[in-house]
Amino acid sequence: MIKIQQKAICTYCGKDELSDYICKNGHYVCQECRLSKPLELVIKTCLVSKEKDPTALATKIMLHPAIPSHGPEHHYLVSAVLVTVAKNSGIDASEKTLQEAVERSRRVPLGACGLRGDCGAAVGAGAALSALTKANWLSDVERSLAMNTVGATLNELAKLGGPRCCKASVYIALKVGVESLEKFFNVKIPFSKPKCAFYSRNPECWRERCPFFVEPKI
Amino acid sequence: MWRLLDVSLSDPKLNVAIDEALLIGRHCGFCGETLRLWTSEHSIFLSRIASINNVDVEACKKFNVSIIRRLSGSIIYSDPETLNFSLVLNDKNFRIPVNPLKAYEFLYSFIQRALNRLGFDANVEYAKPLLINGKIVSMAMQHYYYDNLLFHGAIFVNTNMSIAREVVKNELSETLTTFTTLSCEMGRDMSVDYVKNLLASSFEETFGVKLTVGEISEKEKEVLDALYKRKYVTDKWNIKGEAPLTLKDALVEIYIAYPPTPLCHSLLSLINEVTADLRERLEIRVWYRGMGSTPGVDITPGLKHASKSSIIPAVIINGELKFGPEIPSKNALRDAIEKAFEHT
Repeated sequence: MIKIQQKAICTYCGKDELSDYICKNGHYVCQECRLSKPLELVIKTCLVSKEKDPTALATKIMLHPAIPSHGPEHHYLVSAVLVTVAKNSGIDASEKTLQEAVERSRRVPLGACGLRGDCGAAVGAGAALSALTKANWLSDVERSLAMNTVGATLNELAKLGGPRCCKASVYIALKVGVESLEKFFNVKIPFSKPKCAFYSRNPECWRERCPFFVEPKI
Repeated sequence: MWRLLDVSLSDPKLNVAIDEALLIGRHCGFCGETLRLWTSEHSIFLSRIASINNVDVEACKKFNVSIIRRLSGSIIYSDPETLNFSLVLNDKNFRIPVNPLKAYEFLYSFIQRALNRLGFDANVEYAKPLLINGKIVSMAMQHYYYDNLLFHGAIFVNTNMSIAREVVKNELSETLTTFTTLSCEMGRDMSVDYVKNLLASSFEETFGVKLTVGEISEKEKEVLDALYKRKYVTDKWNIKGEAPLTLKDALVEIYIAYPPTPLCHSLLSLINEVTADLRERLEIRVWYRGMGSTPGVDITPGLKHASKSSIIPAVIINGELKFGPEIPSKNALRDAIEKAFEHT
């Protein structure tokens, strides 16, 4: 970290202000974002983001220290990121859509994957699809789309085995979510292959068993 | 410079406390790297997480065996015929392999070399005891405190395994049939002093260092004294495995952002101001969100609460979340700290 006072833009909320510190790569995080709670951070970051690549946006948010290695924050993070990249790719979505998707997925509790078989990240993807397609329990193809998104995510996650990794779950849910969005809305959303930056924080990391693990260079 | 510490005290609790005092001392820069070779009166050493249910407390009383918990390891019986070794070092200075499997083999290699010199084919495997002729003759474990390592264990030279079998319970008692002693395997009596000299010379050869016989420094003795009084004589530690929050009279933890925001800086300044006259009695720890935990330092319930609930900045006193995210007034903070002293 470099202690420096200069005009800088917050990496998360986009606020333009005088910095106190910047990182060696020139990034700045404002005071408010440094002290943010996870939910506030996810929403305000997504509301200002112009990012189309869900991997880039999710990784940026997950790198913030407010987001722990594992936890229910990852559930609504998937919803918020999918709604944001959909909007940035030309799909009609408002702030309300984002809030709605987040509200639905944040109800999924910690450990739901192992305790009842519905990973919160998968449900987060389903909630985003439902919110974007305005689906509800009476809908036809939109309801099926949301259910298929959740189901396909869960299938992929189940194939990977355990113990749980919320980062891998987020990336898989985003990948499946983007595939569903592209099919339904006939848009192209860039999805770059995640290279996990979090393995060193996770004592239960799957390492070589994980599709996103990159062997560290020593 | 490597110090060879040949210090064994008659009080087994004080004896065990020395290892932690050396580790804290290494972190504080009171000493350099140390190899300690020592023996203990009849004792059973429990690891931090080992259950007391695996120990026959009545049998311990009958055979005058002390029950002492230490920082790591499994459950080990030790007596004056058991040679304990404790290696205290800074991992940056010693270039320990990053891979924990390789690190274990690396650290254990001087014991292996010593036993090979006696004509045994000793095998080291990660997190497993050292075997000769398929039987356990030595056990060791690692414990980190910041970036300092304590690698400690025991070699059963002529250990009284019949007492060991009496004082442990459950399946542990059965596993003791797989234990052996050097004397037993050699078919003749081995002296602890002989093995001690063997280990010291093997250590120098294996790691290419020169050991110099030393003493426990005055500063280490101060740490030892605090550890003994606040931790190693208590049932809370020895029986329940609950370590004291601090070796001082109270603990204040500050949980702030990284890098600290102006609000965090204000809190740090306030803490400095309010505690200026209390430093001798108070331990202050600063935790930065997202920077991870520190090896060997316990996470208190209050810190966990602040972290899980993103209450930042926060002040945690004696493990209890007291203030956050608003900065407390000077008086409120001072009162809370003084109250914490009353409870110690």
